Amino acid sequence: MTYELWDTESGNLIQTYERETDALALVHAAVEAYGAEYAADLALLLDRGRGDLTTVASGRELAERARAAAVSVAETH
Amino acid sequence: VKGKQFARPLKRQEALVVAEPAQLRRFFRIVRSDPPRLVDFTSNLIRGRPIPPGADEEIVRLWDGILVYRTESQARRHAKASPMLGEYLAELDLSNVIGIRVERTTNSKGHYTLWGAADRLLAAVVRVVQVRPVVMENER
Repeated sequence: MTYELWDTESGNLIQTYERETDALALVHAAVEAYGAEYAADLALLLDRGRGDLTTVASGRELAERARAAAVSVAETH
Repeated sequence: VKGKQFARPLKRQEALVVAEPAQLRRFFRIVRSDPPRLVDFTSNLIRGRPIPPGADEEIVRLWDGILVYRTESQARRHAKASPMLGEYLAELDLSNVIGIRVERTTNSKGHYTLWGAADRLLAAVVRVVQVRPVVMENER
């Protein structure tokens, strides 16, 4: 499985990740630095192989997912 | 000496390298309109999109590039999974385009990055197809 973080406005793949948490960490860092608007043009896709490609979250939903993941990591440590 | 070099049969790997430039001339890009516009070939860097803090070296390196796919089916699969990327596929023929760098990038299957002027990339579009058929209002 591969997670793909996309910039939907420019139509460019930003990076691929083996773990969703790594992709979300980058999303959260961008939102923290540039504001929630930054996530409006982001989407996280999951490629399970053999043509099985789905959108995990995008825009505001993705930003919220990234925030929740960051909180979870902070509580763990 | 040169004659001997050319006469020597190519090994498998060498043959691939020689063949690669000719083969890697056609790519597919997801775009938002038909015909595509300059903005469809404008990189994050030119758009002024800031790089996320903590981005790795590859993200930084690709920030001024344009994503394309090797085959139409690969591009179509992504366009269907994420309609917000665009509903058209533009086929690019780079055979007669100079100043474009091509590199296989990321772990995504068939994903290549092009570096070059947006107007040259736009001029290289030879075909545009729609990913999904238009649903008329009275058909919904």
